[in-house]
Amino acid sequence: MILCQISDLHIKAQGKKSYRVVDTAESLRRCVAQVNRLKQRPDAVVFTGDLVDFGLADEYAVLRELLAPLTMPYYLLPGNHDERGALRRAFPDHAYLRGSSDDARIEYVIEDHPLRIVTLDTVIPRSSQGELAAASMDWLDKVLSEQPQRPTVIAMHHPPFTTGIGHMDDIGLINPQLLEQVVRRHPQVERVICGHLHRSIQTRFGGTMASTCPGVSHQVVLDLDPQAPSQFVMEPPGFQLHWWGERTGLISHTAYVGEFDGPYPFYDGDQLID
Amino acid sequence: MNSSLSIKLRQCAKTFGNGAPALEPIDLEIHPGETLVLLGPSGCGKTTTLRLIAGLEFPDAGGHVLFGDDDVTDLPIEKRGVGMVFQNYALFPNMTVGENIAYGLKIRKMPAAERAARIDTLLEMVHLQGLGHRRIDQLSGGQKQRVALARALAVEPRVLLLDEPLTALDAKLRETLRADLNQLLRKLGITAIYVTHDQGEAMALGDRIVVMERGKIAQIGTPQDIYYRPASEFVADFIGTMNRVSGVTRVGHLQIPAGIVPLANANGKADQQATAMFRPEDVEIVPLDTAGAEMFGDVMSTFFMGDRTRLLVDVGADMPVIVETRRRGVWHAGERIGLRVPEHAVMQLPVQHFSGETRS
Repeated sequence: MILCQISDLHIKAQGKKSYRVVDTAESLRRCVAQVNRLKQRPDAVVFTGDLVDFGLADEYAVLRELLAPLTMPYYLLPGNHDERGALRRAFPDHAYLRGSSDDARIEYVIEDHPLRIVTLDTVIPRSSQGELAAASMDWLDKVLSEQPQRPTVIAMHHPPFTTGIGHMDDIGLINPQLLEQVVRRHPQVERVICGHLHRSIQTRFGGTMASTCPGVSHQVVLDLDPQAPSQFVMEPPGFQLHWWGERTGLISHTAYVGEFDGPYPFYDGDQLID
Repeated sequence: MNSSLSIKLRQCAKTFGNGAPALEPIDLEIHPGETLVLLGPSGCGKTTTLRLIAGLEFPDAGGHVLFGDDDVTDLPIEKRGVGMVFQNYALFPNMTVGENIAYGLKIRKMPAAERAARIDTLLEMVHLQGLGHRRIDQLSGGQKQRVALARALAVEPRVLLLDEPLTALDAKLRETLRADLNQLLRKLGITAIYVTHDQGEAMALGDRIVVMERGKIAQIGTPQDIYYRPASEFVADFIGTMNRVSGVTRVGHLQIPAGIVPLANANGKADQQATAMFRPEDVEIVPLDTAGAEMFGDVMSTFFMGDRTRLLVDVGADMPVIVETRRRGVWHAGERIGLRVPEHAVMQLPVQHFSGETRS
């Protein structure tokens, strides 16, 4: 199966641009169209947080319209720009979003695919930083213990590792080690996939791999300096395809959104083109 | 270190989604430089209170959190200038000790030499000199908590928040780290709030203790206030071990089946039902045949604990009286002994409804 990951949408309402520069709605529209056209159609899409820019109801209404054309099931999880209650109200038909209350954490398991998807909610209301709840870690441990043979992907917004980009690390996850301790006990976790960074980054984590996804509209400037200023750049937007096969395991690809020159052949007949 | 900060909670309540209040509206003032301990059983609201101060939770409408004169109610955690240490050390396993400490440090514009010196100072402060290059997974649990503490202090926070930082450690290590932590908090003079369910930790570390019960403050006071003058049965039961005997008030004492307990002011009236309370260590064992024996009872069981011996004594009441003595002696089950409690050690709570829960 192919699980598509799209992240950090930052959708605004009334045609407003993010940071007065980025037309995030247009970026998402293009991405959705491109995903629908992919030669190998993804089986599902997971959106790893920062779905909208200010957690507002009218932003979620725009988001809903933008996602309507998707031809495969999709799953939403919140980031630091989201508001759980508004998200839930905009997608009442998404049963997995339901909770005991508006502000209850949005954490769920999707069992419908060969690859098991478990999501975690790292949101601290009003904060840009993220936190894992101790209760969520107990829940995760239990969920993972139930099916130790099922290949599993954990999806969450804040990555559980530092990236070297100082201003982003400053608004990172405050207790990543809680997750590390749990993941280490469950070798069926193929990947911990995250957003927040607006860049593709990978590292070793708890005996598996953890990664972040490019932003679907704007990217965080690549600057591995603890004092890096908080800036974004209009590098090509992207998304990821996590391709699962029994024999191959999980193979992750990064794709870029946009119209690019090509494709061109490498060979002319059986001759490498000189 | 910055001059110390006072913190005020005004009418801070917290209701979670399921509708059950985690915290009733509370008012609380934390003095500059004070170590305040929030103590209580799980679910009492102590962690919720800490998280409200941290900015990890926000109070229900009408509640306010003040840092000095600043109302920080609406500020997120990253704007409050708090340092936090958790039960599960939140360190980055892919970084060295020094890198973990520097991660919290605002190293903007700080030259490398100065930064290194700062890390060294912090390492020394937490007794980890020379371990800056170690990997986190090469450290013991106690060392990890020392790194977490150094990291929290690195940013020179306005307030230090500690959420059961010693709970995951074994008993001996806990005691060492507790002593070090105590010294450090006194030396720094930083305002600190410490959450624990361990009464020993609370009494050792707290300038004042807030005992919490079911989302409410049961008592605020110095460790001595809380231990010697508990304000309720709940506090009396939660802190230490408390004996409780019921009887009838007489002039100057309480008459119980097995003798008398002195009671200076038996609530003013004679011939009333009343309950007296006293600590196990305040009970003296006296020879039966002397005038000093005011109660007598049969030894039910004894526990030799090294520095003291604990005896359970049947005095004909519902519950045995627990006695702890430092005297070197051997007592046997079935042996009849005399007991006496000095008057100053006997407490009588204001009449209240019995909660129905007892703890030995």
